[in-house]
Amino acid sequence: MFCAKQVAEFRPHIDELTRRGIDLAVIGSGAPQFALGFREQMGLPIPVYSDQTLAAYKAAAMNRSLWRMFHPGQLLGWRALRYFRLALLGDATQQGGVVVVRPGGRVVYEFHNRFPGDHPNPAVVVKAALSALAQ
Amino acid sequence: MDQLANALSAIEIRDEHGQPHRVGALWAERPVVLLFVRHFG
Repeated sequence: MFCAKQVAEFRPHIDELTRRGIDLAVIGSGAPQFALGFREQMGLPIPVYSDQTLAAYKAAAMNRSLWRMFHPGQLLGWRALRYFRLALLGDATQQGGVVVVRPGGRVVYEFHNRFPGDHPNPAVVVKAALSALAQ
Repeated sequence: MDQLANALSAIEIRDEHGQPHRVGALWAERPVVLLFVRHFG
């Protein structure tokens, strides 16, 4: 339910990052047909990919467990109910995050969400992404 | 290549049409911000 919020927070930065030479992509755990619906729903000008096997999540060391669904920090996120979605379009126990990689495979930033509603500050991610251009 | 990028590089993900793409191709030419979401909801 907080997935849309995480992406919506990045939405205002997408055009600038793309213009400055940085690509963005969304990876979700739902089926490919739901990736299309998610991109259209969010009005995203970037690709949305499906990772139903969770292989990419595992490789990126993203958190996954049932108890994280009930982390106390999640309660803070209930203010974001306007982003609530009834349909479960992926693995709800799988937490997300952000990884910024520059050509050559150098990771310049990574954030692993600890619980639903836990997201990095987009400004911090943007700063890290822009730093990848200077390296 | 960093350990995390190396682990991610060869993994295949599917686009919205079901076509496979190697994750490592996403940073082949330009830096990329990968936004992992919990699900498409």
